[in-house]
Amino acid sequence: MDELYIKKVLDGDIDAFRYFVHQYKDKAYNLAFSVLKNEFDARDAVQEAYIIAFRKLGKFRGRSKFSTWFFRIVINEALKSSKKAGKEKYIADTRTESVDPGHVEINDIVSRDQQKYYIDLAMQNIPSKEALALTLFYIEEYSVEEIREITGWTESNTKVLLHRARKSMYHELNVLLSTEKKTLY
Amino acid sequence: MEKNNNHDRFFRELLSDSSREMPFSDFEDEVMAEIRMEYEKKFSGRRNIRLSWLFFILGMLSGIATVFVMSFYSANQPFAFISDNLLPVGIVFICLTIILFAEKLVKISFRRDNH
Repeated sequence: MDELYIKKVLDGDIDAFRYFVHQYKDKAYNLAFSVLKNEFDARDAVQEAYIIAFRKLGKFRGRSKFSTWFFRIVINEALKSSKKAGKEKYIADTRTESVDPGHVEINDIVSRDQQKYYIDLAMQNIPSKEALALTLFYIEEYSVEEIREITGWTESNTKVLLHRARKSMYHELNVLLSTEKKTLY
Repeated sequence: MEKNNNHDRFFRELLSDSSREMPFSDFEDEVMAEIRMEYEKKFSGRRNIRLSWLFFILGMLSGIATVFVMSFYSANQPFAFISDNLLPVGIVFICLTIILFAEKLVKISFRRDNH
């Protein structure tokens, strides 16, 4: 389907480009948000990515899927604006070495809505690349190989980032939930 | 291995509701407006390149014509100083201008990211 619309756009039917905007805007926004952690910055990054994709569509050779190629542009744009704004989060490595999933008892403490709130908060508190790795692997459900293609990271780099991201999330959730416990009791 | 699977299961469940959707309802229209502007810019750029070629060729022909006219008049005595002094300078100037502008025009016209 993507190939058909690519051909249409290249033949001069620019309205056919709306298909790509409609089809991929949510995933692209999700990825940009995980890096930039701000809805306006994420929107701007995705918009810029669409313009770049339109400009470079003639160079797209179809070796990978259009979505892979496009999400790579989105991620590059998001990382670029994150760097420009000096947003890359530095977290001192005070994370607990190994926290078992069982020790994050999120279900026992808070309701479903609160859960979503705390998870979003924890995602915002972890470094951009780690949040991006979690989003790609657990939310968008890409394989490590696909993540490698989209981000340009190596396989081992992806695995290390995922490991660190999990650690960071456990740490953040523990901190947030221990505060919640103190408030409750 | 099993520990990793536990982590994965836990995280998949944890993040299952965390997917976000574009919250700006006018996003598609805004992007398409930008794309249209980009498309028009591309075509106005192409039109300008065509005009540049036209005026470049006209200028080149006028330069050559001027050189011919000047060399024709140089046969007459009152204009002899022109052929001796100014004509070689004029020819060098026209040649340099042609080379420089031709190089720039070729670069702009055949740029790969002209899209």
